[in-house]
Amino acid sequence: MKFGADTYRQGGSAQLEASRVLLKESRLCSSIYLGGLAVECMLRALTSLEDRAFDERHDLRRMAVRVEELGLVRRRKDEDFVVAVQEVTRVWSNDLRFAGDDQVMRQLRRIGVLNENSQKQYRSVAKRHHGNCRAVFERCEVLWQRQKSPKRN
Amino acid sequence: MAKTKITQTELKQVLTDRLELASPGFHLENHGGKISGSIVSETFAGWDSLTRQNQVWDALEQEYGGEATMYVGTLLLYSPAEWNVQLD
Repeated sequence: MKFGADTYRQGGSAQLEASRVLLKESRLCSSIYLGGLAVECMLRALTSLEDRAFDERHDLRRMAVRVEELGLVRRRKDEDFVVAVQEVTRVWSNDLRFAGDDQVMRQLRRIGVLNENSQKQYRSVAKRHHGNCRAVFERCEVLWQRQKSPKRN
Repeated sequence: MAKTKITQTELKQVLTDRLELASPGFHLENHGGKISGSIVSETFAGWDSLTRQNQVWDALEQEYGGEATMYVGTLLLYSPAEWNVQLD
């Protein structure tokens, strides 16, 4: 199967929607995983669109440090956006695809994002993660639309 | 006088010294004429993401002034536990 920029974007959009639905159904480890995967897909789409050399594989962190190079950082430092990217990559790793809720919760406790064994707090972390993923994804989408629209003279 | 370039070595030294980073690990790359990448240190463990970004950029601006953003791109900041994900 051949993947291109459009495939990555469509996949990312589907993963983000799935993450939302799973969050609503309190299937939290899957929601967290798919949210980050959606961001990875969209960064991959933008990278492919620009025909850049791409060797980051599934390393979202290596992709994420290129947000400025991709044109996603709007202002001088664009603090809110970079913090959203930072938050997504703190919580997410590709290895989460192997993890169930217990393992994800343990990792979240290890990094200090979750400080008690509470389902309510876990849900709140998952919800915040989804919001961060959506914020990054939507910024990517704006750039995507701008780059795909016919050039104006 | 305008500074012409910031090297990765210089950047590492400045951030390590100014933030007193504990056992830092730098994973830096040069993209589009700027240094970007990830920095891992236990020092970041006690700070939230906004504080991490503010501390790093405050340190860079103290050292390089407004030119910091000309030479430094996105820096993402992790604690060792965040960097070395364990799912056991």
